[in-house]
Amino acid sequence: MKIRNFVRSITAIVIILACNENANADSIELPIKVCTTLSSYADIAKTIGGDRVEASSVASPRFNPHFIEARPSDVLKIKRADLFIHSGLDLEAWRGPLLDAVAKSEFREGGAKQIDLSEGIALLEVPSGQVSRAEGDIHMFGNPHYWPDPRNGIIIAKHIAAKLIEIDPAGAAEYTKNLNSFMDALNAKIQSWSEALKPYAGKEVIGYHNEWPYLMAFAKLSMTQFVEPKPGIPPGPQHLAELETFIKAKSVKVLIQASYFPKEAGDYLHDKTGITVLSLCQNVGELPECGNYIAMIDYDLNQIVKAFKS
Amino acid sequence: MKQIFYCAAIACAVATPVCGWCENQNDIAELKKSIAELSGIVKSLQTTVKAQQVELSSLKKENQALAVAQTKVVTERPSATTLASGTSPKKGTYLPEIGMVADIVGTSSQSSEDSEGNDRFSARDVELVIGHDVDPYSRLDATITFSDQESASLEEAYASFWDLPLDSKLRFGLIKPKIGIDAAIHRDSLDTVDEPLVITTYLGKEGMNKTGFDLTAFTPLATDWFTQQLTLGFLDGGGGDDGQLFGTNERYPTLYGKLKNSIDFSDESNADIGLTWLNGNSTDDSQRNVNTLVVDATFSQHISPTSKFKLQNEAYINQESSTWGYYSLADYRLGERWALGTRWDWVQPIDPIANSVKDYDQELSGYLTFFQSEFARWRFEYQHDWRQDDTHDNVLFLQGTFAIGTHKHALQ
Repeated sequence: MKIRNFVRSITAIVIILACNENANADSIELPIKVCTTLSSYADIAKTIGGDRVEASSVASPRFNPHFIEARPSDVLKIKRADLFIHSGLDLEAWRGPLLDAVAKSEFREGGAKQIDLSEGIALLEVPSGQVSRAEGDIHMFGNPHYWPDPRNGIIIAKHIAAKLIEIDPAGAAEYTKNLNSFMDALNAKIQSWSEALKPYAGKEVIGYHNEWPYLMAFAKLSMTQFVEPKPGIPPGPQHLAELETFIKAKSVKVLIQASYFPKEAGDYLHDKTGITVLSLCQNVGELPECGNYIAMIDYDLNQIVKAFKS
Repeated sequence: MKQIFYCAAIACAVATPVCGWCENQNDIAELKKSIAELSGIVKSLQTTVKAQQVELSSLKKENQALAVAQTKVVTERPSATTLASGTSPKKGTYLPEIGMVADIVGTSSQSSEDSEGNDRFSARDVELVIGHDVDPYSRLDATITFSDQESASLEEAYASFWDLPLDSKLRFGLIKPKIGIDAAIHRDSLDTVDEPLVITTYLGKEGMNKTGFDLTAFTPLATDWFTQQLTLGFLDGGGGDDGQLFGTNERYPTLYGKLKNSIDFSDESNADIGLTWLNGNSTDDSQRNVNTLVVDATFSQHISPTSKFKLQNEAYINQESSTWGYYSLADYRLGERWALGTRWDWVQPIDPIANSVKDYDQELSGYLTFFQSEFARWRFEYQHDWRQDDTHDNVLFLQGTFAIGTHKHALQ
């Protein structure tokens, strides 16, 4: 009898521990702490997660996301997070040293607590040959500024929803509901934006830095010239003179740049050619009008349409 | 009757232990049955989990397919600029990350002293930086320095370990200890051409690289706007080249501890205040007579997305010799391409030179930096020195710093 009781007790303890472990695996303390590299991802994560998620970002939208000086508080923010969301590729050159400082493998590439949002994105401008910095600071995996295309916004949202469901199955219904609402709203906007942009298909637009190819692809606009002679290289007088000639020859009406780039070159070209210089948002919160992801795309595309109309 | 009674008595005597044995046998049989039942339940649960995993994987694939399909339905993506539509980027290989930073410096000095690098151009430091993950728990980084002034040397070679208790990080190997601010970073990250005088005087010409280990962790006091990191290190004894703080004996280890406090005032401004304590030996016996406190304070304020002002100060206070030294640096990044700044150095040497008329050295430097790109930088610096023997010197520096390959940080 003693042996039997002993075996039964052990079995019971094992089962209880196993159940408890499963319970721990299935339940997570709310709100889920999500830390993202960019504010646009934090906004989408908050939209999908609702009250179950608390989202914050490392890069302030006021600054160029290529050059962020991560602070100790950013290291701690990731250490304490349940999920780290990033762009993948080589947009955030500061991500590697930041994750080195975080020193937790679950946030590193392939880790269980991170999402590389570039997965599933149809990348543009993937270099086909030898990559050299003689071409400026080009991106070896393809252009990483994919989130301003609203169609990619849907892919990003699905990624985030899937991961949230994985780490918090109890919230699956809410995440699915929020995802559907987000997609419905974005799809409706996509239709209206496409209609509004239709008359300007194929028109030439100048960019400051090569960070708009995905938005241009969505808007069916052409962007072949940039204020930066090569990615990451500030413009010189000779290049500005060449641009002036190009703008006049092609009657280019619009120059777009993110708000964090210097305004002098755009102002110079405006004075010389009358081109409309638009300061647009690359990320949520960059300008007051870009309060959330849909509002950001809305603002950017409406500004472009208005500039063409005028 | 008597016979029947005896027979019954014998039968009972024989049967009693047999019955006991039978009961045990029954218990064991029941136990075996229970174990078999439990095994069955476990197997059935395993099968269910496997089936669910298969279903989950299939749902995930379906979900991804739907995502792609839906994206295509919304609007057709133009393909003219799409070079590799839908392909995943080529993710890393087993090759380590390799980078090189060349620091070429031209120096012109009024002094007649024919010291290294005086009145000449030299490839002062050419750093070969190699690093890669060793396994899921650690990473190896090494920096090998070549120079036309000195023979090649190993500047750093250490493994970093993560997933440690208390969320700490361990570095083990030849490291630049986290003493103050500028002694902990590489030359290419300095705001000036040369290291502050207090560092070259106390720690050594290029600071101090020592073999040992250090462990860094955040303290529980951290909040959203305030963080506190504690570093504890154990290093080989001795100092850097020509450093006066420690002796040459490497046998008696140097201990150090650093408390770094960081305050975020806003996205645009922050401050760091650090306290480093160093304990080691300047003699050949084990007196552990060196006790030095390093206090550092930095304030940074972004004026615009591309311009920034920084005020940085460090003071070294040595208890043994009752000497101290400090520097103050103000750096203003004007925009994408230009930065200018100034540094004031004041140091009481631990070992004063012969014929000294005062017990301190001073330097005043002013510099202008031009950022050619993220990976190339030019710097022009003027420095005026006042030495203990009452001599003066005017020095001009022209520095070009160039980085190729993979590097942990751009020169910006």
